[in-house]
Amino acid sequence: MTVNYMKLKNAVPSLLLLWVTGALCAQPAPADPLAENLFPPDLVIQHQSDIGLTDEQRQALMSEIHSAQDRFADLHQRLQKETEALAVLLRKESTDEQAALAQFDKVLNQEREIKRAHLGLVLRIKSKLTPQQIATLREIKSKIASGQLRSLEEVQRTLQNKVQSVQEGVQGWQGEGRDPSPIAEIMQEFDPLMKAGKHKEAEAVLDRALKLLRGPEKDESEKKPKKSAAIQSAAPYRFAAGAMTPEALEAEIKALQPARVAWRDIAWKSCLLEGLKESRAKGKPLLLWIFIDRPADDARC
Amino acid sequence: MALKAALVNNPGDDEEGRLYREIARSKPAPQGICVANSAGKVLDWTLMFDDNESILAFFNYTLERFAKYPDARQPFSAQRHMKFPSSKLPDVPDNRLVLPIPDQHAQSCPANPRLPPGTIVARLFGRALDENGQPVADTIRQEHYVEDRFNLPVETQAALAQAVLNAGTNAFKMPDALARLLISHAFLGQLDVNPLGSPAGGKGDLKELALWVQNISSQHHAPTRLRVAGASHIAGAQDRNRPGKSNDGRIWEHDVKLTWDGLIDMHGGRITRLLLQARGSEKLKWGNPSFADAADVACLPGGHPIDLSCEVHYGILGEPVRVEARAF
Repeated sequence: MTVNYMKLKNAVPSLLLLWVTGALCAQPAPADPLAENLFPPDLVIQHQSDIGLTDEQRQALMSEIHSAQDRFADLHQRLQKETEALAVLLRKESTDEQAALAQFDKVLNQEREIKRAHLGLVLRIKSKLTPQQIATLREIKSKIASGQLRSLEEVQRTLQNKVQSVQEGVQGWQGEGRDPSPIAEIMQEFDPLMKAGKHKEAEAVLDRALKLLRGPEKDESEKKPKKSAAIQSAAPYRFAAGAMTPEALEAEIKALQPARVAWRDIAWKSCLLEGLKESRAKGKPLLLWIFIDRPADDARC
Repeated sequence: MALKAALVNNPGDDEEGRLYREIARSKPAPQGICVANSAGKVLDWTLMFDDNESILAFFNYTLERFAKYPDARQPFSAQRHMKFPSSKLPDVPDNRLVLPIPDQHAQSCPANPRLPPGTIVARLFGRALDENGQPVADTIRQEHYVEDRFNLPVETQAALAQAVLNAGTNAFKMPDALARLLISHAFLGQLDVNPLGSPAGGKGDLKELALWVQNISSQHHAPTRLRVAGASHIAGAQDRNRPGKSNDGRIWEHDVKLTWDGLIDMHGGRITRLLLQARGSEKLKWGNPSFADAADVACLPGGHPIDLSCEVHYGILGEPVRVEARAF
């Protein structure tokens, strides 16, 4: 095969990252031995169908989470109280060091209590999972870390964007005097799914609503593939009946962007002089990615 | 320090250009990974790696060489690998030239050329969808998630503005140059699989392009608001009538059918905002017998095998370049 043009962005970035943030910086990021063996409640709930969580397990989990929520509310209230008391002491022109340190200890104790309660909750949840479920969750965490799976934050962002698109679409229908009740009917399924933490299913509901809002876009005749290599259609395209707001459209487009893309984690520069200057200042080598004559910033390679 | 150094293949004639030329002097190909020291002298080049572990081995090796040759005080050869560490190319001896490194650019930074005012910078995002219609979660491979960027020159915008004037409130076909520009970046995968491209032994074809525009402005908003809707179909494949020399053994078939909709805001003869999305289906086959079962990093120039057939969703956001902004 002749030397074709390189697809570095496809394969290398995550590995490059190891070097750029690791060996090059001489400060390899250590794996967190605690975090990798613990699974926050939202992760378990988000991936309940992936790990095959039973109804019984789910109920037990939700029960733990609800009781913990009350406890956390109480603990956070106490922390706030102790923090405010410390702030009062620090506000004085002349602060009594011993008193301030004693109060600071109280703040730290409350923080410790909160962290302890968090760990307790996570451990109780873990104890309700099977070894197979734990193994699957480890795999899921690893995929999220490498960008292969959407994180909870990304899922939530996508859901928010799609909800906004649905709202905009409904407003558009109302503005045109159309009856939005079919959308409302679909959306009735949304809240229960969200409350059950079934984000995938909830997103599918939003997609159904959005599909209905977008409406049929083409005549049947236009859906048929053209046999000739004609460059243009003979008749004007039929515009969708539904209103389209820029805000809803922009939200839908932005929802296509993942929250994290691994190759963006590398702080690529493009100015050679700047690179050489920093290389001299930091005493580090310069890694150059040369790709034909393309800058390959946020373009494909 | 990580740098995307496009100008290694197209250096200027000034002091900065000479630094690029020095890096280019030892390049084994117009593409690759290069490690240089603080004087801009190349320590090592490689195009590929034996396996994933070899990447870190390469970086550790170059760090050792950097510790020995951090600047231009001692002569050293540029080492080169087609594939690290198994396939080594001849070293390129030091030319003993110590090039001055200017504190600032002769004019503006050549790696960040300025765009003419009024140019629209368009960013494209594309996702492959799974069987449930959700974006495939993997965002590493370009056949699953792609970002691209392109510019709409002011002349292209002016042609659209003229077409709007001519059409009044009637729907009209988008000027061809603009329509082609908008649809030509909506494909998954790397540059080589561009269904409108003509890679070795292949041919891309525009099967259908019908983007229609209608002025939907009301008195309630100042800019001219245009509604866009339409369809595109582009397809490329190896040309079976041109076997042999021009074909390096690659397998390439790419077919993208999309339905478009969106909005364009204009003020005078310039676009002020562009929002387009496209949904449809995409089929892509890419491969080469030489890929065999090799790791991705062992065949970086050719890419990895792809066999994709799925629904897709693209979005394009465009806005005028900021005065201080650069091309990228």
